[in-house]
Amino acid sequence: MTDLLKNRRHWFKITLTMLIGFAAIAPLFVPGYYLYILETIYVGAIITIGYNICMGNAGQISLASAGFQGVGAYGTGILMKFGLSFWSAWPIAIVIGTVLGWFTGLPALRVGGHFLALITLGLVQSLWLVLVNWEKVTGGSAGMRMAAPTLGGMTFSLGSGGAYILCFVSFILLTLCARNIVSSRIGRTFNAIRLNEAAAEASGINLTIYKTTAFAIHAFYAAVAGGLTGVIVGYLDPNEYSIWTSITHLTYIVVGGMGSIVGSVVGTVSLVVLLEGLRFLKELKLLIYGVLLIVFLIFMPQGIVGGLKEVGRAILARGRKE
Amino acid sequence: MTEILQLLISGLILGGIYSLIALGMAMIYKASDVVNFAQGEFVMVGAYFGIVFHMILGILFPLAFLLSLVAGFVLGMLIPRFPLRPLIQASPFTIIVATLGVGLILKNGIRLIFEDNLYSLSTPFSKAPIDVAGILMTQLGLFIVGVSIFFTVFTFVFFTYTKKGKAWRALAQSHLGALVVGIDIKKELTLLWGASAALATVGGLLIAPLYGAHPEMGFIILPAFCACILGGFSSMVGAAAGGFILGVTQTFAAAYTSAAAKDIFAFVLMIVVILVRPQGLFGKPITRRV
Repeated sequence: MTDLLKNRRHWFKITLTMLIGFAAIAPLFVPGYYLYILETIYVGAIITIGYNICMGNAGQISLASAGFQGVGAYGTGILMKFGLSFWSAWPIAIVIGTVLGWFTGLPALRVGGHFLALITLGLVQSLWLVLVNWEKVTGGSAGMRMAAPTLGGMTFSLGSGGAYILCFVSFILLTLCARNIVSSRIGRTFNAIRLNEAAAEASGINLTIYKTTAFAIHAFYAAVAGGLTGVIVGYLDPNEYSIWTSITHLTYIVVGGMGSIVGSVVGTVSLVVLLEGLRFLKELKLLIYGVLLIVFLIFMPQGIVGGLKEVGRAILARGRKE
Repeated sequence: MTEILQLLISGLILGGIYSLIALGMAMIYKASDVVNFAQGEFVMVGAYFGIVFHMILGILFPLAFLLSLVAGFVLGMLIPRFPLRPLIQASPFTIIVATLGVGLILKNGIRLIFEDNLYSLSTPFSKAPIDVAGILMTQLGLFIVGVSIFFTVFTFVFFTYTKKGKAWRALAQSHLGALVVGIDIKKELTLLWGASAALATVGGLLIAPLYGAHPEMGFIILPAFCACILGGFSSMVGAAAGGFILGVTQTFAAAYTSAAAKDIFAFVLMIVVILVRPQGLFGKPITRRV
């Protein structure tokens, strides 16, 4: 049995390494449009991973992911308009987003559940209103262009291999980072807070620090992805940062699996691919999201990853019996 | 002075609509601890009911109004049956996501049928201003204020004096207790959701003549939430009062700053109330049980 398990882990690692290897050299043989879809997947997965740590691990409900993403995207875009290069504008926007996320965590100390959802909903809609109405700076509802970043003579223009690699490397680094966060002391503390807040507090966990940290991580990931959105699309549209985008990310999590990094990635990949396949349906897109949300909540609350784990466990148990 | 009175009147129009929507939300929250994130979409669908009955089928306005109410009621009754009953034991998170899912389905269903057009709902009430002692009013404005006050008062009378209302109040106190005295919880919750959606429909029918019907009008949920929090989610009087207070303060804020600041103002107010007095102006203090 242990041999088998070892073998399986072995195979899993080989497959994963090969997948990552292929993904890294994808710009060499994948046509532009599919490259763009892959970039969308990386950006979506980055947001979803951070979102999932805040919600699936720490148990703090948030609807603000699109807002934080917007801060990252517009922060980068606006600072670049003022003459900064992408490489200094992006980190500054990320810091702004993270600080905003930290502040969002403060009300979480007083209220939870529904009210937290309301506050974050209010936040994302207010940010959207600012984006639409502050025309001088954000370009209003017409949106704004973002110049392609350059680095030592190399331009990370739309659809170029450079832009792809930037997204890919960010995705890999942030995934590893998330893995470390989840399996470290912070991750275990998050689990304790989710499972029983009062018990966690009684055993000496400082809720103020950890709840705000959860939101800061959530906002950090979303802001990083926001800056990347500007790179892969080259154009910032305020309507991409309204509550409905947050719900899209929420769907990725529910479909993939709450509290699981693999789940975040699986959810993003499957839904982005599914929607590309169903592109001709256009208006039905969000309708499908709604139906998927409810179907998964009722029939597969653990998401695809949780469901597969259960199936795997059932197969193993049967094997043992025989 | 006249300027202040003028703003007060506009504030009441807005506040009346908010308080109807907030009332429907507080009702559901009290009885089943569910915050309905799809209430804004109920408002939107309600407005479209008005469009279909009055503008497309050409039914007389009062009759179309009543038909829309019935349609809204039926729509509301479906919600606890389909997505919520299998989730009866689920965490608040799951239920929030489920209501968001319902909202997505409603909004994009409407968008599929009517597309992104702005439909206007005409009423027998004129929009021509009438001068009353220096203050300008319209028939439509008076109609909106009148209807919203009527339905708010009606709801309270219903809850206080009828047997059904008493049963619903019993649900808010304790589901187990309600079961013991022979109240059919499933049935009553279904009806309560219907009533809540009917109130939202009235809200939609009152907004549509002012701003038109559009798939995005579910946005109204943000100020309605704010009204609930301002008055206290656990108090129906609070939610209704919160709606009026918010409508008036928002109108003043918009008049002295900018129109776009209106909704941001609602959000800031919501945060302040949650941080300073989480139970709202009228609610009972929240106790945390370990």
